[in-house]
Amino acid sequence: MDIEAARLLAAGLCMGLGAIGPGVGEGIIAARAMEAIGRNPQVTGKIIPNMIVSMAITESTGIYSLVITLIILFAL
Amino acid sequence: MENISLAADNIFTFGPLHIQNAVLGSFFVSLILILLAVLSVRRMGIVPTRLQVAFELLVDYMMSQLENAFGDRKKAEKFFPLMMTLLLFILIANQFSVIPLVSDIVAGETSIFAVPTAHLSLTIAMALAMVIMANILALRISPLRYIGTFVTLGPLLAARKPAEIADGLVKFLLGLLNVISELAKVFSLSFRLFGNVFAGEVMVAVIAGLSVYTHYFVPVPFVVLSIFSGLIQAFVFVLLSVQYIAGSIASVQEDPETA
Repeated sequence: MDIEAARLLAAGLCMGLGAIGPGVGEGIIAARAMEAIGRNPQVTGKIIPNMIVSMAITESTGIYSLVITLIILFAL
Repeated sequence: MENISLAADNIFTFGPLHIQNAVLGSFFVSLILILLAVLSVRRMGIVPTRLQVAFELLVDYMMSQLENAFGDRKKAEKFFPLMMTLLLFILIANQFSVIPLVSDIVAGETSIFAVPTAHLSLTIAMALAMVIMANILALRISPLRYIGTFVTLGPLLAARKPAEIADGLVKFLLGLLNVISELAKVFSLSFRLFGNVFAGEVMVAVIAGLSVYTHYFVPVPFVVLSIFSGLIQAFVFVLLSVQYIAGSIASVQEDPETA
């Protein structure tokens, strides 16, 4: 295989596979947050910021694969 | 498509110092912050101006977060200036690309000011400073106890039976893993901020460069998305470093329940 083709393929695979985990994780967080809001709508203001922060943390594995992808694409 | 590079471009060399556009960008951010601060305190009073209200909201939010983390107002006040500076700096730096006209100032081929947080060197420096500070603060409070959280010899030395020795060995190895987790903190903090901001830039550039039709209005939702994620990441960076510092201080204070 051409090295350029391998590079592009690696970048695509890295981002695609790396996005699975955070996607599932963020879905779980959102589902639980919605459940909690549905059960107790008064605490919405407290749940939403916590939800966003924990989502950002869950996202970090996705961001790692994104960084690797960017390094493969633009720095190698 | 514009040329996208991970490294910052060199603008000029000053002796052994290479002044890059990201460095100039962070100077520009500092300038904006100083201007905002001067403007907001110029007519300070009982009836606040709009800018003053915005700053007071931020200060209140930060203070309540710090008090939650440290559990003590005096300690929170000690850490407040550092954390607030970090928050303000990252907040402005993440939105650097939406400040109009600034990124159009060019010298030759490269623009003079670049988004500071879209370069790994700045985010790694900030994350390293935070994690090293957390370690040093804990070491200053009680060096032996803090080293004890990494080298857990206690259960191994107290072991009398073979089963206890095995248990102590496992605890010892788990303690060594904490060293790796300290390193991982640096990487996760810095890569998270850098990845989000840089990805926002690249995304907008890629969408704008797709074809002639997507050059003007199509990138707008993506710009909004990157503004939003930049806002959130600024808070996440600061809140996480507060958590790290508070956690390492709490780990050496009286009677650690966690072994």
